[in-house]
Amino acid sequence: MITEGQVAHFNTFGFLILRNAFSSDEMETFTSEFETLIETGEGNPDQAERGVRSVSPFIDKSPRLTELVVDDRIYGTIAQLLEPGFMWSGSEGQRGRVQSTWHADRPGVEELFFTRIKVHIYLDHTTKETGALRVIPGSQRSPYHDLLQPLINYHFKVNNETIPHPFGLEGADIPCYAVESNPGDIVFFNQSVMHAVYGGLGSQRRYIALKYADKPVSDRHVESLKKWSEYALHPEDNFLNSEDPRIRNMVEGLVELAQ
Amino acid sequence: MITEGQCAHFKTFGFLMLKQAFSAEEMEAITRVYDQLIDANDTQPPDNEKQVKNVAPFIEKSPQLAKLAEDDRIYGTMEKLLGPGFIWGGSEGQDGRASADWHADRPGEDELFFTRIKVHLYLDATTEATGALRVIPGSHRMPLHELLVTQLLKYYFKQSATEDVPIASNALGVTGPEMPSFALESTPGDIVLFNQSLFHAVYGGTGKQRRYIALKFAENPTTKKHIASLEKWTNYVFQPEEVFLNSERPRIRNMMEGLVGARDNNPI
Repeated sequence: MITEGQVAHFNTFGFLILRNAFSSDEMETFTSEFETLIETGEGNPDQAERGVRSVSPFIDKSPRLTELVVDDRIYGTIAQLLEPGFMWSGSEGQRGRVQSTWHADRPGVEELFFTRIKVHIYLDHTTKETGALRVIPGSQRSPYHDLLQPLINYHFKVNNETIPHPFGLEGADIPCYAVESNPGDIVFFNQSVMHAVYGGLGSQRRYIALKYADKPVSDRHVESLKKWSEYALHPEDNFLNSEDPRIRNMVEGLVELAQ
Repeated sequence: MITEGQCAHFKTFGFLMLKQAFSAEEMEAITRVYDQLIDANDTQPPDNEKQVKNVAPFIEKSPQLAKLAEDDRIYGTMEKLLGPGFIWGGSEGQDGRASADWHADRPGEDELFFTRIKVHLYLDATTEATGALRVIPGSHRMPLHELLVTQLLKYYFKQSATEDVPIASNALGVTGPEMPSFALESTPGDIVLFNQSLFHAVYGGTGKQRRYIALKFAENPTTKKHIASLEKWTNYVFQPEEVFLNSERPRIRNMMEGLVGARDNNPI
């Protein structure tokens, strides 16, 4: 159970970190499972070109990691941050990545009406200069979000040399807060918050990501899901057939929405 | 002359840093005069709790420092950020201060319509852990501003600000020093300027070796609300120092005329 202050922190800044939520024994188990899955899972070829091993869906293939989805420390927190009836939106495992320029996963004013949260569990210590998630606190809301649009433009045309660095700064110098973390910490962030990574740790930047979204209650929500994360409407069979009540609640009705 | 990118930076994030705008020789001269003025004018009792020396008005007392108000690197930047007709908002010299908890100088939605800028010239190197100005970028705008007013200012005005009392704890689940922010680490020669509605704080100051000169400017006050706000927060701006009021320097005169004319034209 997180405090009211922590809920306010997430609502104000668009992210939250729970320090030392998992013990070192638990992290050892997660890391062992991660290493098996990241090697045996089907890697994303686009990411592989950038020296990144990314496997998605990820945790669904491990019963132990699947427990994370309904773990009180994660599920319970999500239940306080999202509206009742929130949905499961998939997972990924990632190893590597030196940098990711400033962007929001769900960018644009039209996306801000539908809260989606990504949960990162880092398996290695990260600092601002070595691959920690950098965020612009509060950028999940308009008009701040709109003012930062130049960052999005730059991100999606990163190889176009005619696009100047926004605000006259290199990406690494954009004012931000680095969510530095140790193994055992849990990082939650609104997927509309602007974020970036600079100075990664190469193969030693490993994380497990879990994703959740508010209950889709309108055509706009469904359209947005189809645009950004169609896969979320087609959960893995072991989730669809799960007898865990929390998992059942999160996947119930998704297949119908896809139709 | 600052660039369009720097203007956008200020408008978006609420602050701007101009790195190494002044040379080492200039900073040496500025520091020498600063030390003389602080020693000659500080009126704080020797046992003042915060161990802070503060002199205001400050640069007006020295012909050499008064030139800063019209220096291209400062005045020219204000022209770009505040537009025509901006006014002089006073100055101060400060030495010391261990910490200042999260606050905005001009807090509240009502104040956001009237931009006021404070310019800091630090005479000593500052880092995040040793007294650098920390800011919450973008907090000079709604809705982030109002969320922080609600969460933080009730603590700021209720308790004393010392390092031992992390007054922001419980407000957002973190202590003041842990608040997500960006530290404007600077070295002598840098100019730090920020919108006075931006949330800012200082932690881990280094006592006497945190010295700065502050200059303040405000956009052209054109409404009764502007005048009322100036009277509420900085009534002293309407009584500028004689040396500025009677200055024949065109830039100083411009700033004085905007000030005097504004109140005459918008009586409350």
